[in-house]
Amino acid sequence: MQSTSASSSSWHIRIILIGAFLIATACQGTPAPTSAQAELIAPLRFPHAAHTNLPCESCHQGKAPGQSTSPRPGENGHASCTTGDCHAADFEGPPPPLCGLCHESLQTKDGPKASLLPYPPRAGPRTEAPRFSHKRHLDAPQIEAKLGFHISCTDCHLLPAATDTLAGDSKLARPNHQACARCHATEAAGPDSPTMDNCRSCHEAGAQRRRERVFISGDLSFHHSAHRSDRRGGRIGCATCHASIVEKDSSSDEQESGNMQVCVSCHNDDRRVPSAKRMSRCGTCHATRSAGLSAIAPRSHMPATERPANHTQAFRRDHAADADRPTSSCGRCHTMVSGNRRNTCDECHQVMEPRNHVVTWREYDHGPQAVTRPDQCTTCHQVDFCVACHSTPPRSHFPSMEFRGGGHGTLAVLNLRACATCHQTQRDCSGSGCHRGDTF
Amino acid sequence: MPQGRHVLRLLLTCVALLWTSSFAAADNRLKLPEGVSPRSLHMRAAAWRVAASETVPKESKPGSESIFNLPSGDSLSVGDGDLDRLIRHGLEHDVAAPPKPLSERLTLRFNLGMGLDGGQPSGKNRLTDSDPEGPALNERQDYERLRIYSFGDAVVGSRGLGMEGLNSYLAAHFRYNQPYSQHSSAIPSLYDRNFSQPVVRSGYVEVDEVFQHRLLKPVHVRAGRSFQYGISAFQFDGLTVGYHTPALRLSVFGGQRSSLVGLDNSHYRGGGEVIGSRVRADLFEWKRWPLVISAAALRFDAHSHFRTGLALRWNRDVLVGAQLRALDGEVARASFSVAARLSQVTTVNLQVHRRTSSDWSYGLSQVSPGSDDDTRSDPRRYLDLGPVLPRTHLRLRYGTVLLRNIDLLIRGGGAIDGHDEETSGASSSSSSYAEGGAAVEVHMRRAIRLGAAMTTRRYFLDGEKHETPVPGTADPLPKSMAATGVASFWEGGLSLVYSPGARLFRGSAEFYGRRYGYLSEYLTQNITAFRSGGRFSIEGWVGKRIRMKAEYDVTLGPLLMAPELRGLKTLRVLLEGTF
Repeated sequence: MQSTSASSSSWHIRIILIGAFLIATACQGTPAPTSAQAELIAPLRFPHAAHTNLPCESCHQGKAPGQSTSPRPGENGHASCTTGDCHAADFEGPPPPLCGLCHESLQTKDGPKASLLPYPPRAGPRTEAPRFSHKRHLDAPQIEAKLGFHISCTDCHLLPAATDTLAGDSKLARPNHQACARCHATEAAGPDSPTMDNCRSCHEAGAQRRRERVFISGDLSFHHSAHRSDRRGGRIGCATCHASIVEKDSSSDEQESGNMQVCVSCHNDDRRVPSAKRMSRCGTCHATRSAGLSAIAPRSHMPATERPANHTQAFRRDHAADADRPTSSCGRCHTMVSGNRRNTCDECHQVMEPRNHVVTWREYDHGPQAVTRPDQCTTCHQVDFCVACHSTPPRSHFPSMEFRGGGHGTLAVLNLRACATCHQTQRDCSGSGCHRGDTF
Repeated sequence: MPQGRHVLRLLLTCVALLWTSSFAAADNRLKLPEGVSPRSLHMRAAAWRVAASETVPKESKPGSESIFNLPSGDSLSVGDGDLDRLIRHGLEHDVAAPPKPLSERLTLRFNLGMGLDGGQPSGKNRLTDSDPEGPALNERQDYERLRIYSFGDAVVGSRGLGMEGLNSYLAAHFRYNQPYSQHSSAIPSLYDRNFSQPVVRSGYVEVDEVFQHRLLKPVHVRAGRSFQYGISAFQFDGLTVGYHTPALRLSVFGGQRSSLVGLDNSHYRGGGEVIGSRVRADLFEWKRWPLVISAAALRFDAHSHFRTGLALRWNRDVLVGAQLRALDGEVARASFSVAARLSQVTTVNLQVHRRTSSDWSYGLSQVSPGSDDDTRSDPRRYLDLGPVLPRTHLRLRYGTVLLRNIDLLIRGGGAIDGHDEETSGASSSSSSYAEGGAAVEVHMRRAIRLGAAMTTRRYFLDGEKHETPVPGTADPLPKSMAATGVASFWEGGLSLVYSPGARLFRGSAEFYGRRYGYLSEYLTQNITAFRSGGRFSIEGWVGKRIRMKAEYDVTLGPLLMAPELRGLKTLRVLLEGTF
């Protein structure tokens, strides 16, 4: 009894450990930090979420006459902060940590003017307007119909100090208010277009989405300017890497970053990339190389893995739903299929053998497997296929006279169940008068 | 008139922009900060006008490519934005889709191969030899040591060839065995006997967009030999009429079941006629309601089958579903499943099935075990799958990629067989079992892949041990098969793959070992059989269309059930062309 109990608890521990392991591994590659996570990542960011009870204009008071840009909140002697009872006391005594939200160094008000931190920060997560649709902004026919022109990626993703070229840039800038204002300022906005005098047009109250760079991070270096054209001068379109951005209808949609397979497709092609920039040269993109198991280049970097990243071993078993989607494009790579998406599973399932169908499969191995999961066999084989073999005596049955005369005994003793797969014992064994027993 | 309105809007917009920008400097609100003037606003002609005059780059394949696959050439020069080309490229399809090239309308694939199966006699006696001192395997009378055969496939498919919306597909296979007079060969095959004629797996013509009315445009008609999926996969000669939209898929089909291996329909009631229908409504695609409702009905061999399903499509990557299948009005199978994609590479799949004794024995074409209504002339007589036992089946699979490299699959499952008033005793084709398995694959530097996999399974055999055999007499049969057969199974494998790139060259080596534990009512000790083997293959591409492949599959070590052979081996060489 004790041993049963110990065994039971041992199983429980195993199950818990396995569960913990699965959960831990499932968390791998979590895409973007949530808003709460982002707050932790950048504790010194201004917490907009804590100020949603105030009207936007109480801090963003518009640009001063003669100035070209909107003044930063607080430039008017911290008026926007000291007004009311919230932070007035903080500005009376020694500088509290609050000052670190905007200032690089904490000085008393009698000291030299403290320099400001850049805002928004160049690094760390950025707050995105919840109501932004790439799909709508890139819907050229729709925009043209309304306004007579359309925009492209580089109309918004400009460098802060760029003039009219991307040459020499390091990173494409995220659009700031200036970029938006060119079309959404009150005076410039087109019909049915949101205007910037209403912050809520884009910044939904309480909805904050912060996002950090998810792909170009860590020791990875990347320059958009180096990816405008390939070795032969062929232009590289934005959509080559950001393929599905045009379908994103909200900034809360998972944003498409670059895909390693796109990198591999070019960086493994000597017609497009010089040898010094091939995938085998880790230093092309990485400043450092890690040690240990992770020093092995990820599978996504391997030229042999030009198959999609989701084509894992699990995908080999569970691909039915993906293949059934109207947008599935199996035929692009699997050239044996016609590309027709209606009732065409047989185009693969009739010609591709599973891995376990080795030389002994037909005669020795398939039986126990069929007992386990007969429905798996029916994915490819109709019953005729089984009948065609099961109706033919196997090699062991020859010479037939000797086999019938008693030679079959040894085989039957070893695995009688195999006999019963073809023979109805009531009919063929006891019905023939040889064996006693007719109960099954 | 609409064009005039567009021009008017354009002018008004331009005037408004100019007017507002002139006042921007004096405005005190956050409206129009000074910044870089738009680089390309107002600088482009309308896309549809550009599209008509632009030339399509040579590399592009309009009509078939996604609009995101931009040609790498620079023949499109109007506009600075890269997306410009993208959008214009897409618009071209909307405005005036150019004809697809022949290479995209026609698919042609063939392969031609030769195989060699063999098993060298070991000189030992067979298990079935009643005289231990008697002759071993007699190659002159009952065994063919080597067998040569040729095989091939041909696939021809067309899409929109001759007429827009006309598709066709033909897939045929042949295998020709070297004729021999002996009774058996090393590796048995269904082609060993009187079956060598070419087989047409599929051959149909399909017409899309039969009607031009907007609502009837999704109608398609398919005629010929094709597979049908739904309640069960089967092949039939007949007609399918379907209506497919992303939200609704409806099809009705009818015809005669066909066989890939020449089994005629004379043993089926109704001569093999089959008729059925399927419907699937995806309410997510229609109204963003996360439900998918499906139903299918089918009649074959005087049996009626019906299946209905309801799936909760939590989002694009999580699907929770339940299905119920009935056979002749009685519940045959109930299923519940959860399929979730937690990330691009992490998936969880849970399936629970409950089969009743009213379920079919194998599939549509083998509903009953075959013992009662099959005659001696019915070839199904020798596929005795026993009574259908109620069974509860659970399967769980989890896959992910660890450390961005280690492709991991963990799976487990099991089944519990039950009994009800209609079934007593065990079935030769069913056993309760529990199994677990895992597989990993690691991509090493420069195109080398290492893999390992293992599976272990235990069958729960129960039953009474038989009475002690009496020498010299025919043993009595056991009361049931419940305590005989494979009781345990273990499999382990290693694989090594070298591939410098897709469609260039690939070499692989696989090694495996399988251990079976047998339980016999007639023996006091359990018996273990171990088999191992290896499979080696190389394939290379000549250009992008011709593939050559050779594969050698061999057992390593003796075979418990066939001591008369040293082992089995097969060699196959193949030439394949895809056009």
